[in-house]
Amino acid sequence: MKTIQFERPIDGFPGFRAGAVLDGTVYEVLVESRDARRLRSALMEMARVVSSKEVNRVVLVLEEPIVTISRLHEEWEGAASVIRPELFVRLSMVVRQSGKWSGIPASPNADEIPMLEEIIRHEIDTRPASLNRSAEAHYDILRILIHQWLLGKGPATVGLLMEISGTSHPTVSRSLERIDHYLKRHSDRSVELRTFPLDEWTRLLAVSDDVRGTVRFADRSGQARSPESLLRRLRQLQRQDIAVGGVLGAKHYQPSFDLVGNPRLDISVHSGRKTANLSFVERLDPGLEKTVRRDESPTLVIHTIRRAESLFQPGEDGLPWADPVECLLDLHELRLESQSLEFLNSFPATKGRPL
Amino acid sequence: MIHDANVKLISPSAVLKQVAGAIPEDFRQNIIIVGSLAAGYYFFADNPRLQVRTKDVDCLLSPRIEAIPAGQAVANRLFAENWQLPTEGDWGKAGDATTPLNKLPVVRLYPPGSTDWFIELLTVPESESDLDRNDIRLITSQGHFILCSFGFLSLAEFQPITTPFGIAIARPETMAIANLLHHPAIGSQTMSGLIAGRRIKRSNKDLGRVLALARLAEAKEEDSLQKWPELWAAALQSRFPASWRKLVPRVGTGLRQLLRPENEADLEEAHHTCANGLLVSQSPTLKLLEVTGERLIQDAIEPLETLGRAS
Repeated sequence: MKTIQFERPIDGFPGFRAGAVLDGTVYEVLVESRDARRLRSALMEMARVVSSKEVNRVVLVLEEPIVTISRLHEEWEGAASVIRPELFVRLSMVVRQSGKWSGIPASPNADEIPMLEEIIRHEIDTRPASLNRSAEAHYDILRILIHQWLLGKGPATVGLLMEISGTSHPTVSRSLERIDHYLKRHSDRSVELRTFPLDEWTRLLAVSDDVRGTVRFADRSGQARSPESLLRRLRQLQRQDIAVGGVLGAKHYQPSFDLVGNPRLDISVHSGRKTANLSFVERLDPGLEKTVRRDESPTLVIHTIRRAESLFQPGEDGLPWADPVECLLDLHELRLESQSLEFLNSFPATKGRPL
Repeated sequence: MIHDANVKLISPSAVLKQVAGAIPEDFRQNIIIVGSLAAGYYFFADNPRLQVRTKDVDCLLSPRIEAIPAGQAVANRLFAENWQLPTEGDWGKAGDATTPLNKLPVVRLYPPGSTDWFIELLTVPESESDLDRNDIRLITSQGHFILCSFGFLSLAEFQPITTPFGIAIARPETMAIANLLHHPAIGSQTMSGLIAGRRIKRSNKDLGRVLALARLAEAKEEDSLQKWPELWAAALQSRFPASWRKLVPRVGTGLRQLLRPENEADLEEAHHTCANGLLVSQSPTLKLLEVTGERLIQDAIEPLETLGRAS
């Protein structure tokens, strides 16, 4: 069986490492490419690489490009006019958009798709997350402190906060400085919240989508699968890095939580510092597609947990629960304001002093 | 199957009751209804507002060993009760002992006083290696006809559902896999008649039927497609004990081809047949049909392929 070689150098191109190589074909991957210039330069790079004696073909693999297919065709035709024909015929482009494959000049064969998916998976798993880590770190630490406080876990040392958040001492210190007026500092240098940090929480809500890398999926078929069906299928995947939040998570922590029905499934994916790989969504329902429209009702909403420790709680059926702070954020995002308050007030920390 | 502008909406329960009532009681157990009417009854029996648009009521005579006596008894009873052969086309005149097999008509009969629909008698193949169309002579009170069988019709014979009328209907799952196996690729052959005014490839019509069955199954019970692979495996092992593992890899090839973006014109033909047939009362969008196909592959075909590979 042939093995894909990842990040392999190519003779004659010092400093260049091919994304993947199989059987003389080089694969270069662009994920969520929104920049036509980046695409153009990738095509030129491909033409350069295909001139190598050890390369038969070069395939540009586009995962969920933000540019339209017609724009891709325009760029392709533009490249055809400047690349030598004997090289250009050895180039191709394959595109996976909303889980569907197409290509220029041709779609990939069914036989090639598992290999292309493996190459994309490798690319996604190995690239660093691109969001502003320092901005996120503060909200990670804030959420950890709220988690400790809500569950009555007592003070946390800076070391524990560093361990859970995966951030450095200076980062934790800066963050604690920022919310100092909410903190009770102990003689052993551990800290805990005095009360719920309402204004910091409000700021977090305003940037929650960015901080949590929220991605929404809506049904495109007209016959959406229910959140319960998606949940059953999620359980079948047996993933420990995915946890259930939202209304279901809130009901897990507070069984008396007053909400009938479940409008959508909220889940959290623990990706650490890497970009979350969301290819599992297609296994939940091939009818789901990413949506950025806020006026559309999503069936599935995914939030990314980037801190070092997920704080997931083990579930009885093998699927973990997202921590209560994520569930609370999910309820806010669902515009369930009174239920959010009810949920928050149900924790021991708020007993006798409802918010 | 004939489709034209005159194809009427029919109530599956009413037609099934009428067919059962016309068949001699002793032979009702030999009848399994397959096709649109069976699917319509399975999915719509409890909702009289939902109807199907079909002209043909396909009656499978089973088991094969009893097909000839059962076919004779059924045809003779229907003739006696004034069911009518078609007056047009190649189906209206019975042959005799001198007529070669390939010139004989199938038994196709309209109920007295109506041309809204007709029944057609079929049977199951003799063995698992008998995969092509096969005709056998059926001698009736009105002359000679044929009973024809097709390779994968034997799957429709697996665990049929008995109705209160005494005759059975084939399961949607087994009809679906029979159609999938019958079309491992999109073929060029077209239907002899028009479907709602259009000439449609046979494979697109039959694969469209599979998608319609899957859609109705999901609408009736969410996640029901996940139960299909187990029944499919049991049906294949029962009817194709020596060759079932070889058949499994071809179950999904036609459908996968139909769903490829470059075959959108074929999928559109499948959609046309669904929207003017089994799904006429709840017409789907093209996107819904496409997603239904992808869900079917995930929930049923891929798990069947896994079962086929297991030792």
